[in-house]
Amino acid sequence: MNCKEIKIVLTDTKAIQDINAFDRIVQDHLQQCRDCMLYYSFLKDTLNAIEVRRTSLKANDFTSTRVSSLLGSRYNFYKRKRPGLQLQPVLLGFLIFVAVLMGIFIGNKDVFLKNDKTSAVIEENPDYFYSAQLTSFEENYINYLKNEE
Amino acid sequence: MSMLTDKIEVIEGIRQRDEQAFRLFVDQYKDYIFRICFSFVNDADDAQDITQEVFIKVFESINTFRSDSRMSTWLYRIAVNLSLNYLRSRKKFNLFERLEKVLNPDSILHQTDVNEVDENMEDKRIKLLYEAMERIPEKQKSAFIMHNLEHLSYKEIADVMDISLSAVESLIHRAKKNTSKYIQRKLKNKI
Repeated sequence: MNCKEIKIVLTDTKAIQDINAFDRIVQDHLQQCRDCMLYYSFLKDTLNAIEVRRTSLKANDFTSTRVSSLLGSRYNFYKRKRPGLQLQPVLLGFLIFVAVLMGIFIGNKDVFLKNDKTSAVIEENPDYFYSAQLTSFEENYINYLKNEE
Repeated sequence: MSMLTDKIEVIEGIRQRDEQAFRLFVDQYKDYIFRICFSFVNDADDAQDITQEVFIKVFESINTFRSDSRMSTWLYRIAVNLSLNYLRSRKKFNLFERLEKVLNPDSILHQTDVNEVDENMEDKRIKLLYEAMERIPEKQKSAFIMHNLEHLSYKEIADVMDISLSAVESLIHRAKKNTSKYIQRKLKNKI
């Protein structure tokens, strides 16, 4: 067996952990060939390191929650258990309809702006408030004091 | 209640879209799937993402699973296929990354090289082995990983890949040959 063939044989994790697991020819070759020994050490150390990492690593504890949430956005888990959820859009549509009706009702001036207590003078003269003369607080107070006297 | 009945009930629960049953199933198999994905992609974050995708795939295709076949083999097949899909997309991204480096050397993507300096010997060795595996055809790589990292028997690999035993032997032999050739060349360059 030449070095090339030996290296192919060595590329096997099941055997690489124990050098004695290889045939006598391979073992003898490894003792004589520095190049193949280097290859053997590289592979053994590398595969051991991968094995240590693989066994020490674990999936995230929240995997099931994450997957459920991802699926929840695509499918409805509760579809069969809570049919009431399907009525939500209908209810929302109904509420929007009611809101629009209320808006039309409130927006009607004839209904709300008419005040029974508004005097006939004001109703007849829309500029009533603009034409009224405004007096300052000080003037009002002076007039009050004069009246008191 | 026996394990078998449990398993059938859980599968039936997933078919009925019962969230509780599905969560139970995910908790039971998450580490198993994660390790398979990790063996293929050699990155914990990527393996986690693929694990999640595997379960989504399981949920979507649970009706295609036949109760008489082995759950672990079915799951294994899905995990391997999705890991290979991921590696394919990463290969495309790497090509884009290399192109980006050539066209725009000041790009942010170029800065990822800084991390490579801090790698220890163990990381370098593992990276070299994965580099070697990246260069071999997909089927050879799958068989090689399943045999050498996952420690599956030839029979199990044949079941997962849906090929004959002799085909598995041939794939593994060619994978060993190609991988050793690449590693040998790289090791010689370093000496």
